[in-house]
Amino acid sequence: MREFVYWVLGLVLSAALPSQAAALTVYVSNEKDNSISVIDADTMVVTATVPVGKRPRGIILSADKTKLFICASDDDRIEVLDVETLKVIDTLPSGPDPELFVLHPSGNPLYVANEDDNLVTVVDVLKGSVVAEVPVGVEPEGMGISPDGKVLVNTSETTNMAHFIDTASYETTDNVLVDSRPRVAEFTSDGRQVWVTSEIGGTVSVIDAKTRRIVHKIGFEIPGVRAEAIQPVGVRITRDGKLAFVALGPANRVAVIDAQSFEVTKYILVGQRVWQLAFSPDEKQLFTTNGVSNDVSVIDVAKMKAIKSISVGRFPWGIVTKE
Amino acid sequence: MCSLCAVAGLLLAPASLWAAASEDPDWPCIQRKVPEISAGMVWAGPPVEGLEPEWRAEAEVAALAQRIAARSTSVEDGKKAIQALAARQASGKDHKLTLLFAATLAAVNTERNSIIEGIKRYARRQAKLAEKIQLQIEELNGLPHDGSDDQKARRRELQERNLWDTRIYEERERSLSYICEQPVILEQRIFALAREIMMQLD
Repeated sequence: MREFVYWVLGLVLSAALPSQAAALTVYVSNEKDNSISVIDADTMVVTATVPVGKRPRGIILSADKTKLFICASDDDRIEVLDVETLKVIDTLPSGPDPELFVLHPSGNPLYVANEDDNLVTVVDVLKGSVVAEVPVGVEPEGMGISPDGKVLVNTSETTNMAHFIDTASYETTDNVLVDSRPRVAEFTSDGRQVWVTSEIGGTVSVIDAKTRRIVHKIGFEIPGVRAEAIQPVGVRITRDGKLAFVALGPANRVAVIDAQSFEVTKYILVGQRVWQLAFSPDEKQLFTTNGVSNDVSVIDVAKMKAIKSISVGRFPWGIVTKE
Repeated sequence: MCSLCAVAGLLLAPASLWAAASEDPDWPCIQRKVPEISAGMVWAGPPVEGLEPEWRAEAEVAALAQRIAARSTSVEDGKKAIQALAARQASGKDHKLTLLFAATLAAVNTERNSIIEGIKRYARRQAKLAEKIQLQIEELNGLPHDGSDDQKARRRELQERNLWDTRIYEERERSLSYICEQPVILEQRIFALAREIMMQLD
């Protein structure tokens, strides 16, 4: 009897929980339309298109998930969008031409890559001021931060290096040479590896975060697709460290990688010129921005299949999800 | 003698560097030249190699492919035509749709090719005009301001011609970004059509 009561209680709870879970929302920056598309991921419909500053690219949610930070690259600033009212409520200094940024795991500060000035600008998001300017390699691009917030990795497009920066001293402690035009750096959730994609080199370098050595280099080969069309950019790794997904640009595919053996297990056809990726918080879905087909693809992670395409603005670039 | 070699070398160097970088010295667009859209870039369905004789023999498929590939047909109408073809098939639907994709890709690539050739002709004409403008300027620079009446008349003539040619050149340059978009528009088109065909596969 008691088992039965627990069973019924369990049923009631499991029925009640999903309805309490907030709806999943996806935010996408449209580089050419100067706007943010807001997608209701349950109905997979664009519910709002918000005008923002010029050439919005990288976007990131604040730690409390109430604000969206937007790199308005051609306005040389960061805009702060209130995700409730969908109004730009503030701007932050960013240094010139901000493209990509990462937020410290504690929620502050923000590290911004300034492509034209060879700098990483450190911005206090609460005070709205610049804390430091860190000189880095030529054309800084990708930005990754260790889960403990102690190490920042910045990639330089021109010198083909991943720079390891101590976030306490702002000193560059190591430079790791990777393949041509590194675009994105991403730490595994345990902080042990950094995955760096090389757009022109067509590879992903897996760097041991402790020894700062490349432990593996992942290459890609897709039947019927020319090698030069395979241009890795965005990379996401599941929290359990088992699977990695890499966006392959004009190859129009996302590679699925066994993150333990580094074997590529599948290439999922998504949309044209796929660059950035974002998991839903439960990692059951992966969303991609496709800059030429002007849409977002939804990948069912368990099925490893693209299940839907959602039209957004022109040149969709950055993407984040919020529950 | 060797000073001449050096000059020739200097003149040749930038051109050959440019050719190496862009693979085609006549290609004027910022967009990288992709000579052909391969099936693998837009298609994840059954293999399409060697299907050409078969789709050419199927009048319905070949005609539909021509129609949906043409830019006079909207992509939306193209998608509807694909759905209608799929709905009409009692058996062998997937194979029929694969033939339709192969035929549509061939049609789009043919049109895209002629656009690419057109862009290259356009670029060559521009290069010739630029050369002509350069010669006019050189001749103008060689004519004295206080020369004979003949020289003065020649100056006026050259100045006028130069003004017009420069204007034409600049206008054509402005059209270039639009012209360069055309191959990309066809890539978007074949991708959207291929996606619709794949959605109709079982």
